[in-house]
Amino acid sequence: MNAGALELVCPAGTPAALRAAVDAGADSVYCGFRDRTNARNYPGLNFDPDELVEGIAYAHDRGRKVLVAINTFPPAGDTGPWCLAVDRAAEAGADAVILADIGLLAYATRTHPSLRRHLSVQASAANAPSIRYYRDHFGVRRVVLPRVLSIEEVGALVADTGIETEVFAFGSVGPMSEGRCFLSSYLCGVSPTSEGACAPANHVSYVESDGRVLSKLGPVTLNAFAPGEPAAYPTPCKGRYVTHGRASYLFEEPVALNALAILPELRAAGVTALKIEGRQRSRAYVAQVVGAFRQALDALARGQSVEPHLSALRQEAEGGRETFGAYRKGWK
Amino acid sequence: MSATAPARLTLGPLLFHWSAAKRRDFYLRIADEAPIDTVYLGEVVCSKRESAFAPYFDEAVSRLQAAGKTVVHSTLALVTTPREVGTLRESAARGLLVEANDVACLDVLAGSPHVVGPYVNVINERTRDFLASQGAVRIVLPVELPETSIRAIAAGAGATAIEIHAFGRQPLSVAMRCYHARSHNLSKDHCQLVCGLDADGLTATSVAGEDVLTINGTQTLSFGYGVVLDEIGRLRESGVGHFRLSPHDLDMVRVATLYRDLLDRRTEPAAVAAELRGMLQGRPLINGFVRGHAGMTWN
Amino acid sequence: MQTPHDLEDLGHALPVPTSAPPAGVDDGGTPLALLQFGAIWLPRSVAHAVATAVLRSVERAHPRLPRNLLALDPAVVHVIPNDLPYGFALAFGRDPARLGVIPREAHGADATIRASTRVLVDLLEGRIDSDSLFFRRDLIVSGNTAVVVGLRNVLDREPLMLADELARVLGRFAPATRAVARRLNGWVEALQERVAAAHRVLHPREPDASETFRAELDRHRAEIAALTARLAQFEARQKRRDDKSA
Repeated sequence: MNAGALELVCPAGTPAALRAAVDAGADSVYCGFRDRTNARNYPGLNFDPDELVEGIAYAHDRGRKVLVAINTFPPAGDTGPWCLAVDRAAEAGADAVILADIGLLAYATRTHPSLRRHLSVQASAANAPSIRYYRDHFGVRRVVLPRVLSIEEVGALVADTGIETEVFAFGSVGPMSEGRCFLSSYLCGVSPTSEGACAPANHVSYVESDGRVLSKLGPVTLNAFAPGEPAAYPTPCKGRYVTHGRASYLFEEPVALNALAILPELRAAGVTALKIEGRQRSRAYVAQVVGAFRQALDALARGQSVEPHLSALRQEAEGGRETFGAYRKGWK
Repeated sequence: MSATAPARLTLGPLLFHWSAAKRRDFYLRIADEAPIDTVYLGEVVCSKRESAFAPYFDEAVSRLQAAGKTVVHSTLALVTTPREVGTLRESAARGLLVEANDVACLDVLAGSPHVVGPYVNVINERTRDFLASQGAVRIVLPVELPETSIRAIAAGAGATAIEIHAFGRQPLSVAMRCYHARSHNLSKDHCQLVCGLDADGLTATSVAGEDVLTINGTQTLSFGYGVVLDEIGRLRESGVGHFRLSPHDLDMVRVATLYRDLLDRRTEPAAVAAELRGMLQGRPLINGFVRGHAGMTWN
Repeated sequence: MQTPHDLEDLGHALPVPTSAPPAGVDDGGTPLALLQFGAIWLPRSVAHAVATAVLRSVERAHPRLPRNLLALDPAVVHVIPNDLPYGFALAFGRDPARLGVIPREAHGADATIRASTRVLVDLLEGRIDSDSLFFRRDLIVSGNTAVVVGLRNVLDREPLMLADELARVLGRFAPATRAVARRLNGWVEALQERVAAAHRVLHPREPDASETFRAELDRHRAEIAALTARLAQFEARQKRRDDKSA
């Protein structure tokens, strides 16, 4: 990686996706164990300890890094699996762990002082004092910034704290402050915070009614679609709700964040790393998105425009629509 | 903490944007009439509302303190701007006990005694112990926790008091975006404080007609009113010492009296539920979170 | 949850496919065409045996797959290609996975996936992921969505390519059938040449698309003939093995 170049941090829900991300040009890959200890706890996804060891070997052989997300909040009386996950990541030779819970950060700091610690977006550290708190108490080296900040605010935080920052560049965007949204557990009883699954598929249903398809989470209808209209996945913050007699995407339209066009601005703001969201996505998706960002970053490093690489990503956006999210004024 | 320790009744921060006059009247009546031990004052949801109550803040504090109540200064749940950080520092300098609702405030309070609010994720004993070591004298647990977790955290809390949400619409999320403004086709920067139009929040209904959520500016709340009733005795025994009532546009003095009677065993949970239902006029009571089920349910 | 016995029964209850392929059959990529034409023209018992053989071969080639399928919650998924006369039932979780052939209208699945063979192959080969599953009109998931998400995630862990998997299965029987295939190929090539020659006589100036198309169709026919022969061989072997063990 060139000095001053943006580090490309890419998702891997499976060992196959890890290899795809590395092959497509990821500088770092993040992944999680196959349990509640990470925020993408979906059936069939994530890594066994031995798969992590193999994945790390594959990445290290090619000069890339592996970051292990242990970014849910351990419930009271049951913190053991989370501590074990930190131990296993350390044993496997992970380049960093991505943590959110203060208690778990304290454990990792005490037990594995030399294991690099990143602060997960789930900790929702959106201001300088919060970042200082995690940096000073737990030696956090990098903060994954919440998706609620404008580019100007990101730049100010980098200048103020002097810490490495990682920002979301592509994928699904949630409008709520991460790690403290209880909408999913309110509707279906499963907690994203401690069980790592928002709107889990076993609580999702699609029901036909009066010639429409209703998408439901638990007992609640989150959207209605005409026949033939693509029925988006019923995530609570992406549902349609009625206020003042009008149905609208009250929280967030079904759009995907795509910051590729503003990479020069993010680099100028002093950002260290770009994060691609999507450990639940396929290895083909990972390869496509990572490849496009790799080319864009290489173009940027050569002083060329990133625009030509935009079209490669259009088809991958959720629902086909893209947004700059909070990076640009007016989103709020 | 033994079962005989006194159970404190607290009034959480007002989450809605009431006019300054309405707030002033509300807190003066609480000072004079409500059997409440501790009152949390301060803006939690949106810094744009902060100026509204500023002229009456000191008056409310002195009236509440004169009535023998402890006043805690609540702070913002989501801090992003340097100006908001500045407000945190001013709050910390007032001399009142401060409730930290964003980790930023924990950094500002550095070592001095404080309350950790329900918007900071404290869901296990490791986090509790770390925060206690940094000066947390009381921790208000997030509304999502089931009874088993609350009891596990309270059990070994030692000198750190544990508080839970016992009445009111439950805070489910905070955000940068203002959904109240969006519902009026306004941007947050030009919101005209439309959140002030709805004293108990704006109902968001599903496309199938179910009342699901309550919008309160950048905050999302439950539609139903969260209550902890049947569990209250067990929670007291496990060491929960503070029970929070969240202000609504209701007779909160009556609500406080009901809960005081319940804590003192002068009435039964079923009788309290029946009377609350009468006051709520069709809006449901919910207890899913404390029972370990979907939060919106009544079990 | 169905037993292996149920799967076999469903397979044998299948109506014998008729000779004409239904409309909309993909005539594009070779593995896809092989699969489609093979599925249409094969006797049901052979299709069933092939399905089992393919699954076992895939599991041998990807040794982590059986373990990952076992780790899923037990379920049966019906996969119903829009363009085939029958569908497939995959049972997994707790017991070793089983793949069988079923009538299109079979009941008893925890979840059902309906799409064209081409889209289904995209799903198998990791080109469609669990997020985009729900944004597509050309792929319909009914029943327990979680079951399909889990299965897709497990399949995506392995670099599965249908062509490789089929080649591997067919390859096992290759020595015995190669001669038959060669003879069939020779016959088809001769036929193709005659057609092409006739075409050149009729349309002397046009190096046209229909010629290419006809050649392609002929190639497919040849492939099908070869496949049928290989499968007949396979069926015979299977029968001998069954007789021996009986």
